[in-house]
Amino acid sequence: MSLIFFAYGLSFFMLLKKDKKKAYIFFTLALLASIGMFFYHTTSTLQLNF
Amino acid sequence: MNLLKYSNSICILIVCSILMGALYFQFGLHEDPCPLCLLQRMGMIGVIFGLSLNSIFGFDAKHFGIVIISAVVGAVFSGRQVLLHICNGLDDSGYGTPVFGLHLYTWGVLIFIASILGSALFLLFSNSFKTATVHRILKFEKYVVYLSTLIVLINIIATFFECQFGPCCEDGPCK
Repeated sequence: MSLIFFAYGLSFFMLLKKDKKKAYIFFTLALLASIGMFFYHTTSTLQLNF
Repeated sequence: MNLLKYSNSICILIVCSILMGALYFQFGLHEDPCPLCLLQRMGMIGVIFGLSLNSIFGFDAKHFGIVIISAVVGAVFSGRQVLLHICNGLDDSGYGTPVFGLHLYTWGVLIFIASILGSALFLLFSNSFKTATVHRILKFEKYVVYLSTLIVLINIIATFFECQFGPCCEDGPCK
């Protein structure tokens, strides 16, 4: 989870450095990872939905 | 043009205020966020990212595309949590303390729908904001983006101490 937040943080860091391409790349990675984590939550046998 | 820039920054501040409220619940009221709550925060950060692109690089339809995609993803996360508590029946009073009668995930659904509607309205009137050849960033816009980055940093640190690198709270609500 913290790694996904870290990827979002990197996209903001690149935004402040005005590097649009890298900001988009990190944002896309973070978004895809969060969607992946959501699917893991919905299918996992662990108690992650409350 | 400046009015649009200010309104864009105010939209960022509105979403930031919800994230700050969530942090208050976490640190002030000691209610640790659930995994789905953290995912919703990510959706909100995505919305802020799209709006911040407008602040730094000027208004562009692509930036609103990012806002809409993030809001749809966030709305799916929030919607799932709302439905989980509806499905549990009358015994379930929801997760966490309600704010003005609604739980944070219900506020999440509302803010994501508002983000989609707001972006649609901006795009509908897109002819009225042609980007200037030289984009000038207002001080207010810059400070708002700095604040957003700070909130993301706080979330990185807080989530690391709560979940480390795992999916978070494997055995039910964190104690």
